[in-house]
Amino acid sequence: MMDIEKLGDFAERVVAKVGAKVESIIYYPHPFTQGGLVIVCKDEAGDLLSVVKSIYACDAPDIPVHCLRRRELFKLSLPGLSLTLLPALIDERPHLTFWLRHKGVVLHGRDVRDAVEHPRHARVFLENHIEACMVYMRRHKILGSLMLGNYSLVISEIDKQMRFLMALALLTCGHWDVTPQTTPDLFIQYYADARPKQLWSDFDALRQLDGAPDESASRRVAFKAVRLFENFLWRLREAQDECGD
Amino acid sequence: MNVAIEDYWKAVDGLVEDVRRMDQEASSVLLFGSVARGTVTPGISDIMDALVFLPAGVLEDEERFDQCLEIMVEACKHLSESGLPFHPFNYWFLDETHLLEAMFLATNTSARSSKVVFGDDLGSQFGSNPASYFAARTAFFDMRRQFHQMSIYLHEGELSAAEREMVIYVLRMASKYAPLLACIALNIWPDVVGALAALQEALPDLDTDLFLKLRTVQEHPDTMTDSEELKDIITRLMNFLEELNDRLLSRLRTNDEWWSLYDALSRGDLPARS
Repeated sequence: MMDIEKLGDFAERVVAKVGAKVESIIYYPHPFTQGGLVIVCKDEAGDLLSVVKSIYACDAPDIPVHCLRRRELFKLSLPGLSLTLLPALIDERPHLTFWLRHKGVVLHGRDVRDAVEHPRHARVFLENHIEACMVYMRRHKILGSLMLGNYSLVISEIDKQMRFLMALALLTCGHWDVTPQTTPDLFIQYYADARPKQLWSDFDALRQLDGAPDESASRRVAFKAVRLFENFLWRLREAQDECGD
Repeated sequence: MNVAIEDYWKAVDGLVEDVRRMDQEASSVLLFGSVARGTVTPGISDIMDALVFLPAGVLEDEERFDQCLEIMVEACKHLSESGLPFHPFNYWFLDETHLLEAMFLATNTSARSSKVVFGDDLGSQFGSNPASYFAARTAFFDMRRQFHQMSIYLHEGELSAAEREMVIYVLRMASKYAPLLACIALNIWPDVVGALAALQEALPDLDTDLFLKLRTVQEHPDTMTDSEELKDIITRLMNFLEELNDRLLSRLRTNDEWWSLYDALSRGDLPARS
């Protein structure tokens, strides 16, 4: 969670510069990131680029800023470019509308949160992120880290991604109010397929072995973690209608 | 280190040699990127844009999987020691050939953008899923939003060395991907080589000439020392993205209309393969 007071100061600076064109400024927290800002400009604000330039001249905080016209609010529910997810490889978009609507903080102007619609098919985000893992985890985080002997990094990245994938699977079941810490238990509670749950448990046990002083043992642990992760991806990919009661 | 185009092909040969050590576990190696296209800029272009395809069954056998992974890690080490700008290649399983990134599907199947350097030509099996197509269609909006951040470089005065480096990096990325993403937003699915021509044909009245300027940034980044010239390119690119954004919104205006694209893709209404 960001410092709301500092965000409020930023909002004040924006309003002082282009307040007449801005309808609303809202902060959204996020379970896997620091959250971001949605700056809604009036549809009749005219040249959006000049507003954007003024906003960024106000010393914008280092979090995502979605600057859009009121009529463009629907974009917040769309998937997007996986290329831009590096280096963190965490996609804010799947949870964004939920956390904006339910936990967002209006910093200025009208509360337009009810006008933000949720994604129509949460499964799209799960499939997109599985693809992002196939493209970027394998290349950069797995091969790239293994070749440098960064075995602990492989484990921590796989841990992060498995939690995020479980959160996306939960989203397909309607569960958006998660944290990285609560996600595994919720996944075990609500997801129907036993196999990915077992793969997570196996990984969870394996990561306790991370940090062994013996390099070859660390390497073996990292290799096994990669195999569990690949099987986890495969299982989630093949699953259909896996929401339990 | 002075490098030549031949060094890039030596690196490819080295990768193939390493892959051969997998004892027939690897089915194919697909090369894409500037080496495959024959557009290498020595010392600037990086390696290794390649996909190594492994049998699906490898994953079920710990020993086989570990052996493949071991060889791929060693291959990456060899490539990193080549002295060329380097990033790791990728691996893919044979039961995933229908799950390539939709954004690059045409690139991965086009003879001018990709090249099989080992094993089977799997091109006829390549495909993408509806979610990937849909994300590719809407990725343009994300690119535009990301590009808004470039406003911070439009301040008065000279760009610092660090700022110039960042601007050139982002513009090089834009040169690589912006024409393709703009085409896909318009439901045109070219390979990376044909993206600019396709865009110019689709939008003859927009400032697509700026992508020729971007190509100079891409190929000769060291010549881009003038701050005002870089700022001008940023401004032109932002204007281009804004104009295209407005055109897209004049066609599809609502959440329902955009998500209906996904519904159509899910029903099998996929873009035709060229």
